[in-house]
Amino acid sequence: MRTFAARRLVFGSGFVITAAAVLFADSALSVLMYPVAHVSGWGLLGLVVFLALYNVRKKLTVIPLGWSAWWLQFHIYFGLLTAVVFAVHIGFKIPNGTLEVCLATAYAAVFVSGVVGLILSRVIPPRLASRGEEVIFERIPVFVRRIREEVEALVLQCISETDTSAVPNFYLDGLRSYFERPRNYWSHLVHSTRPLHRILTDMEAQHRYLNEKELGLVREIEDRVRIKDDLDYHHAMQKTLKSWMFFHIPLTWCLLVLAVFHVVLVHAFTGGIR
Amino acid sequence: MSTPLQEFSPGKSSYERPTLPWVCGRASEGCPCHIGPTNSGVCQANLECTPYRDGDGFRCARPPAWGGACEKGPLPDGSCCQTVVLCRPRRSIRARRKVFSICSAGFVLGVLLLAFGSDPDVRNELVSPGELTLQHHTSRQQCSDCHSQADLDIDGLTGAQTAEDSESDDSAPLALRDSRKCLACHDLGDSPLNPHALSTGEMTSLSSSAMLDKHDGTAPWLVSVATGLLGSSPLESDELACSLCHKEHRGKFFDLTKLADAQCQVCHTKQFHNFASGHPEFDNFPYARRTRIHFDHTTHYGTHFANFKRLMPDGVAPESCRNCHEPDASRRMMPVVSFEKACGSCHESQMQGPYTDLAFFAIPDLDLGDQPIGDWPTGISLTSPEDIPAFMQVLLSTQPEWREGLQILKVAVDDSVSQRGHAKLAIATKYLLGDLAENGEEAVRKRLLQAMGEKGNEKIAANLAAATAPMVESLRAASRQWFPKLKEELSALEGDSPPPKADSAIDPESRSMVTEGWHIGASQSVVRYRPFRHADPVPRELIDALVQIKGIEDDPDGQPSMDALRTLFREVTDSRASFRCTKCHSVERVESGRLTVNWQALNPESAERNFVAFSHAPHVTLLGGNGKALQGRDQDCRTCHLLEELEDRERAFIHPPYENPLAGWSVNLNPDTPGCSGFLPTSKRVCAECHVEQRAGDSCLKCHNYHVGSSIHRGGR
Repeated sequence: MRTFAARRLVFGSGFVITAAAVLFADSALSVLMYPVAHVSGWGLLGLVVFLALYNVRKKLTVIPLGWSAWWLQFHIYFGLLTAVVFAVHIGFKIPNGTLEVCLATAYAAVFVSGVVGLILSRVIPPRLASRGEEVIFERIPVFVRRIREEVEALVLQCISETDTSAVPNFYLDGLRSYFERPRNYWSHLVHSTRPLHRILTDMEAQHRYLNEKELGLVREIEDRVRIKDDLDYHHAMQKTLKSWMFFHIPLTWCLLVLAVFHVVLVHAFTGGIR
Repeated sequence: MSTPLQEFSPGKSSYERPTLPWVCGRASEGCPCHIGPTNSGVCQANLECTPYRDGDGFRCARPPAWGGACEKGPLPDGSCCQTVVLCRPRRSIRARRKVFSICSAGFVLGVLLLAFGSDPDVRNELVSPGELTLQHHTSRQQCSDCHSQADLDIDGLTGAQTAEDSESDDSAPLALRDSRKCLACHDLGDSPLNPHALSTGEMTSLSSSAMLDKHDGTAPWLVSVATGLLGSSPLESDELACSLCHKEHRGKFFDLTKLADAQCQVCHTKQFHNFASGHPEFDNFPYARRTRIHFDHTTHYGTHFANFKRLMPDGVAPESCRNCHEPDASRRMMPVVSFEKACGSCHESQMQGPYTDLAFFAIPDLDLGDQPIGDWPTGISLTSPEDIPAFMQVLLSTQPEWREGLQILKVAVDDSVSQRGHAKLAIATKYLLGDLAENGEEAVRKRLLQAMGEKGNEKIAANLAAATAPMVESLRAASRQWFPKLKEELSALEGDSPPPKADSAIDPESRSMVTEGWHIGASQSVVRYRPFRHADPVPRELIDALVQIKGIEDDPDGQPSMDALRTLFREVTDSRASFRCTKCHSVERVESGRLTVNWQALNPESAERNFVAFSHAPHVTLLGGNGKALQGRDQDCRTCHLLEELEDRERAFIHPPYENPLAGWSVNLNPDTPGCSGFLPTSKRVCAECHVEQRAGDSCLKCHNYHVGSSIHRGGR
């Protein structure tokens, strides 16, 4: 595939030209009194079905249906094009029928969720690459557990070697819940490091009460706190990347159901394109 | 510390399968087993591995990624020593998303089906694509009022079969079938779905004449490109569905008649950019058709009103246009007020007097010698046989003696033969008089029906007889004077001994003093009718009945009875003599081919809708300030209605549009004759002063109707 800039130029130009063609076709068909709503409606349904097929394409990895990357590009630009066709279809006015309003709302929700997903898929990956080690989402609980076990081993070591309770108590009171599972989702989502700083500050405040051996063990625990924070960050970001699809895909299904209903009614009442 | 966290080597990293529907229930705890659940979500782990035989013993088969071979090794029986605690597998993210998607779609489908199968009101609310316009919105609105497929069953829903389809074999597109439902309320004439609601013939005629006109205008670029690319348009169909232009369900206040100018120009060969530049110049607008009432504004304003005191001392001259023209209810038109208000002060007196008399019966002046015909009046002025009234000629044309007498007179070479012919005419007159005196209106009806032959019918004859019925009483009275022994004489004439000729002297002193209505004139030998006033019913009923006779306006064709009727028609429609109704009231041929008399000026309620949709209301308001201000300000009307200069105006008693000099000054039956009311045609320039896009607007529908010739929605713009 070409460079990102070249690809965007090609697809962007194609989108602008196609959108202009759609608007011109709308004007031309309207002038000649063709039923624009029918033509644009079928066009829109075709586009939506094509966009929905991308999900099928991702599942059918065995069949050679073209690169998924290309499919994604077409999905994005055809998705943007549907907004133009949709505007033409509704005559640039907000519909006022119950089913039509539901349909338009469903389309708008799918479109907005798609745009949000596009933005997320452009913003999050660079952030993931810029912080900590890149890990597979499904493995994060394993790594969290491993770090927790290492920290607990350090705490036990502290008990056996120093015979003091400061570090174990601090772990039990402040760190145990932190290491149990991924934490601070919303803070990581907004790129905030405040939770990490708070824990590290609390730990630093303990330093004056610790002897040298304890201090060495605590510094090792602090390293793992930072690794856990990076894992939490990756978890939050990757979870977000996966979560927007929980809106986009179900809404697409709802949109298709409503669209089919709409098509049946339109053809039952008007006979479609004659 | 173990860094990196993630290792990618076969022995150290398991192969993640995020596409699987289920994951180990302990994955979220960070310790999933390497076996994993089944595809149906059942935990299948019980032992960490299945040891394999190695010689006499067994070896642990735990994969390296999960710690490799365990220290204890397999049990002696070959089973694994490390048991795995069963878990409750969880759906993978992908599987959860799938379930959520299916549930969402199912929920939407369920709600739709539930709503669709529930109460009709709920269903209609769901199905309706939006509110109807106020014009179509009623409290008892049903889908089936407008949609032939509205009573949906499952077949109808899928388009397989509809109730209507099963009843009728109508193969027309659904949109056209639905359009016929519109026509239940909207009367658009005989060709309602044709373009402009015109018949194919009318459309072809208009198109042909438009093609002949030279026009060098250019179409808007969009129209040119669109037609160039797409070629044809649905507008080229023979029949157009209403929904092609009128988009319903777009809200209460949606403009159903909205149409872009470019859409008009798809069909119209004279294409141009806007009204001011390119629109064809008006052709005698708005006087392409003569007015129904003949009235010359130029001569009235220039001559008559100027010399009013001298010419019409009792007349009341109008002070402004509004004295004679008042806006109708819609304020669209400015129809003429009643005769009494507008014309009566001057013209009412002209409807009375001896010059308005029309003779219906007269005793002919005959050279009878000693012919045996009984009594014949003497001592009074009689009428020459050639000049007897047309109405009497019509009635006599059915009398065999009359026709026989006329034949004899044609070949008469001496007095004796001539007297024999005259005797036949006298006998025919007596028979007619006797028949009328005895049978009255019925005799008139029968004779008229016979005279009309196939050109007329019972109704026309009855109407004519009814119009002249009171004449019979006058005839009976006159008959007693003219022929005191008429009954006996008629019996004798039918027998073998005809009555001898005798003079019946009429006493000049016995003349009737009645001079209006049905009366015997001063000559005492003629029965006449003199109208009492304007809009007298007798002339009106007479003319209305006569114009119904087929070919009544034609030239004589040698058929005595029809020629007599034609003479009668000419007499009653003579604008210069007798009733003189047609001096003002035009007679015209309408579309059906029959004639009609315009007794009224243009009635806004019955006015045919044509292509021009002009409304005086906004113009009067704008030009006159507030409407009332127009009173006495004729200058405002004259902004558009320019009077022809008096010196340029042709002086005529009746102007050519109403009279046909080439046909003996008979009535002109063609209404499409311009230039009749003394106004100059309005120029397009006058309209274009305001009608530009930035001011009053210049869209096609601002001034033009699409549906024409219809009887609906006359409000217009």
